[in-house]
Amino acid sequence: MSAYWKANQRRLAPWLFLAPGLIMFAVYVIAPIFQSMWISFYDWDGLGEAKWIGTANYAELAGDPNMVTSFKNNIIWLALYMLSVPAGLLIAIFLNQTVRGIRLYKSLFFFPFVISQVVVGLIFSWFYAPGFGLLYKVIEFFTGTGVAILADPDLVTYGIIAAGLWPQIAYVMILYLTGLNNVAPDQVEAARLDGAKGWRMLWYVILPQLRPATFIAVVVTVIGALRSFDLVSIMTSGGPFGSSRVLSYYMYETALSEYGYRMGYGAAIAVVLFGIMMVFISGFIWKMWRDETER
Amino acid sequence: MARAVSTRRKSFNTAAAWSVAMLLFFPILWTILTSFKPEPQAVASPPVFLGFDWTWQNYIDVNQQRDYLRFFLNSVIIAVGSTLLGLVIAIPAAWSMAFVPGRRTKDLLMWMLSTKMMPAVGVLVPIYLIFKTLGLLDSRTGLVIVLTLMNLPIIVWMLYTYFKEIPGEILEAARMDGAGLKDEILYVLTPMAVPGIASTLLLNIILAWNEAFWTINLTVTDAAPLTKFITSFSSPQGLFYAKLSAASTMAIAPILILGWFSQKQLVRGLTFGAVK
Repeated sequence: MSAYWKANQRRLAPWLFLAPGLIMFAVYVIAPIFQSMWISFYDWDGLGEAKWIGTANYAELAGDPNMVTSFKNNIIWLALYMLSVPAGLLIAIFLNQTVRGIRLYKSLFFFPFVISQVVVGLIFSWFYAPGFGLLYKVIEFFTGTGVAILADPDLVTYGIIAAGLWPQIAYVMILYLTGLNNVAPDQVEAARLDGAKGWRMLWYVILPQLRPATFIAVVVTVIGALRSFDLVSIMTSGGPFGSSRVLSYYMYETALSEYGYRMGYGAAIAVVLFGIMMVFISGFIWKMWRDETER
Repeated sequence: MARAVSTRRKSFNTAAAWSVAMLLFFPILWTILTSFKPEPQAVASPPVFLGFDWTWQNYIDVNQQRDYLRFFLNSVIIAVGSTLLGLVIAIPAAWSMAFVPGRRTKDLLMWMLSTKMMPAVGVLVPIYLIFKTLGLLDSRTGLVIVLTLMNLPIIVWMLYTYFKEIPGEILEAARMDGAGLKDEILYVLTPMAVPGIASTLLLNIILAWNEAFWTINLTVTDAAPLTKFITSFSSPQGLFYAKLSAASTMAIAPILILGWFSQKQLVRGLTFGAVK
């Protein structure tokens, strides 16, 4: 045994080394995905007997108004979250100049991103708080009447997204600031000599060199928007009247909260969200895979 | 003349840049300031910026009433535990991928990374059920396992990008000198990869520290970390805002300090090593 190992360890080691990671991965990540799909065909409260009901959960989903709200909100999240990419880019370009105390101010941007979404949600909840919240005061100042954003079914989702955009813009901006460090100065100089400036410089010279940063920014933004859960959970718990639910939160509500333990139905929602995300993820991964193999 | 203009312009840029930075930092600053206010002044209208009666009372209250230290310890154990466990599993795996690549290594990496992008709710029900069966709900062990798994793809990916930068010839030279596999990894690769491993460690501690989805859903009290601590505070019955600010400040302070000292490494980690 030991002799065999000595002779063959170079050949065997890579497989042995990969094994623990892959096995844990298969058991706790891959298997549960298929399990979710499986459970979604059952009517089950998690305790008693699970009853096979075929596609009944999915049929119910199609006519579920809560599902429509959640889905719509996810689309709004996605659309508005994408704003953080141009916003982050503009701030980064503006800041990418020699300014006194550059290290400290870069950190100021860094902080919103490293703090927990839970805290982000809390801070913005106070900002919106009727009576004394800072943003409430600002709105009151400009419009004359205060609005309790988190209690208004029409505005609540936008309020939560605004909170999410705060760290997201900071993140995108950090990505671009880092990317801007790598923009070749001689190319910029050459373009300047050729008379390029302003938008043309940005569009034809700088942006193409920022492509890797843009790609990552889009990936994290799309994924962040579709996975949104923390902020909804902290700021409104999906309310008022379920108007700020997103798919992941609605899933949690049906499957694991006091509103009921409908594991099968929850799993069906998860499968739908999963399917939507797979479209994006496979696109991203395909591109990354292509770039990596080209290298 | 031209010089004077450029100086003025520079001052203007500096002022503008700092204003943007302060605006982005403001919510955190406001939280920290509020944590030092007496409760009535925390909800005063119009808001008080600096001219309030500074007090430590909120911090004292939070520690006494809510047992902050226990949550803090849970956070530390879960964050550090899951990161170390992740590294133990990931270092050998990343070594395999970086130095003994097969035809499918790239695919495997991409596939692992893709699972990191998936919605956590997709596996919530099965994981919840497994944990219930194994008695791992509301236990630190359970959370360490779950967070290790959630961050494993990132750990492997980051280590892989760092290991890739180490020339394979050095490892080969060690091999020529008769170093066994164990010596090669422990005494040649690891010391050279220390900066990379350290960055990975830092990033993961922060990710695990901030993780809210799993910690909130899988804990009740025993294993609850700071994220849960803050959420338990967030249904304010009465005037709690100053105390909540104190709690939040205490929850984010370690991360702000850690983040301050490791910005460069974090940026690389947060960009999956794609932007250097």
